[in-house]
Amino acid sequence: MSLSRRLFLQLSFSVSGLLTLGGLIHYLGYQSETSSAQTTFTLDQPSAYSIGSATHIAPARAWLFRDTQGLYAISMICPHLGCIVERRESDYLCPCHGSRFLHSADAVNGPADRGLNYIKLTLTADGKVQAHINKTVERTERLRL
Amino acid sequence: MTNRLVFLLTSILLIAILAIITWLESSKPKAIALIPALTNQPEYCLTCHNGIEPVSAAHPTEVFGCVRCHGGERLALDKDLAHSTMRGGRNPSDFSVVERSCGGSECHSGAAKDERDHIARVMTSVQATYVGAITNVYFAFGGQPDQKPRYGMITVSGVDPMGKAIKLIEPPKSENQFLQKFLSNCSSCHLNAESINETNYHRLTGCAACHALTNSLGSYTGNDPTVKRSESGHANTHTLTAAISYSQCNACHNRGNYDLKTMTFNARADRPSNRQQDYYQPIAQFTKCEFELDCVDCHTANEVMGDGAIHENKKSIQDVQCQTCHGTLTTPPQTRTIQDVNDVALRRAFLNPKVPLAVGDVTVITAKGEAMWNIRKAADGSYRQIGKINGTIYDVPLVAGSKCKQKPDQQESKYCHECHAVRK
Repeated sequence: MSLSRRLFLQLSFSVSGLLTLGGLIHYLGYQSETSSAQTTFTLDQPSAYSIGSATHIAPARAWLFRDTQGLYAISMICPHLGCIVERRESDYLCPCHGSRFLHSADAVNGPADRGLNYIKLTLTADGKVQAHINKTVERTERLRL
Repeated sequence: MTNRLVFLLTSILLIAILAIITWLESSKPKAIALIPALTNQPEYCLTCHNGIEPVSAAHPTEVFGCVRCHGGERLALDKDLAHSTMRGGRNPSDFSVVERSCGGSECHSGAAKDERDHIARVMTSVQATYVGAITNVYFAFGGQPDQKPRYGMITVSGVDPMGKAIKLIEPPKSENQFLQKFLSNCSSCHLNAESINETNYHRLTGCAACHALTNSLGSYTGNDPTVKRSESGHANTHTLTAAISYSQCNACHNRGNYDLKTMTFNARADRPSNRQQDYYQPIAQFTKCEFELDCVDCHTANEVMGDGAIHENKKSIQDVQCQTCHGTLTTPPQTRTIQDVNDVALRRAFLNPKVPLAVGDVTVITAKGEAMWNIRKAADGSYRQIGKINGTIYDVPLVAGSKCKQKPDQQESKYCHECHAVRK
């Protein structure tokens, strides 16, 4: 089979062009993880959480509560080294080093030297609860409804 | 050859090279990123080490990652580059780097008053300094004028048990041939010495000497695909534990003896077979509890890892005697009720999955007051011991009320062995 110069050049440029384009796309598509994971979590409408309820928000590593004043959330991230504490009947327990916290989030025993954090809650434009796990608030603060 | 042919071949060659590069790049494993909670910085170690075991329940991978302890270049995917800045090679707990790897006020260099200064304690322990043996040999062979402790296998300073300042320095080179041979042949019995590279002697150095369990071959049997299963120098798996089996202690304490006449180490020729036969001392006698229990069931953390003071020898730090658990003819074992939620005994028991301990429990204590948290006084006045390794429950018989006529001032094990030793 005879190959004309024109066809040969067209083929050569096409193949090498495609390979180069593929490499370029691969290079530009590379994403490095530059920071931590998600810090804002959108939850349900406030009506989904009744007064007296305690809801585990696993992706946010937090528990969401509602009392007569409103909604509040406690982070399950142990203030010692960052392990995820477990909620038990009467307390929270850090499975890594044994720090314990009351349900109010106060520290009972170390190695953690302070209590669990209360995290900021807001409402989205369409009225859903949003938890901002990298923002802490005073314990008395409530998302009033 | 025509120009056209040269051009054709060159073009084919270039395209082939591009295709090969593309294939090589696409065949590389997909990078696995981990963002540990503790550092909040991505690291790619799991790209190659995918499957490696979490170190322990106290060191979950998703919290600690790899770099916090091991160092290394967290973003590198090239093996040599990634490993180029690792601390301590494969072992970040080697004493040469342990402070940077495991230290920090929230980790193992915490407050001494809370007994959270693990690194400082172990560095000054008799197992790390080897001070007792050095003092005795240097004194006996003319290397020092008295039996005052001067030398240790690592240079440390602090206070002795009486609170007096003390410093140990590394033993000086000597022209005395006995001391030369002692240092070259007999100084491997301390925590940071490389182990003998023979079956049943394998262990790592530093903290991992005890806390990373090794098998008889020193080989890795875990799930890290990068580690050769046939090579020695590894822990059994990539894990640390506070439940240290007697077999780990045996790597040093049961594999032979030093001969002071020849200043050589006489290794055991036999291999471990069963607990009763495994003891190496030909003249030694052992009671049932000494080969049924694990060493850590009776020997406490302060005895083994140090209590913060620089002791002059093993006898100075060793606290547990037979009477500690069994009492004497006239006195029961000393006990203490756990009352403080921050009691160090609770913390130690928390790390052990076999021994539950709670406020209100009554534990036996040593003469220095350290809780033996796996030995309890029950409500009916009896005593029970829970095995730290396997959870086995043993009744602890008391001397009081028995036929024993042991004198109260003769409570060292050699006296008890006279009646209670088990024949091999």
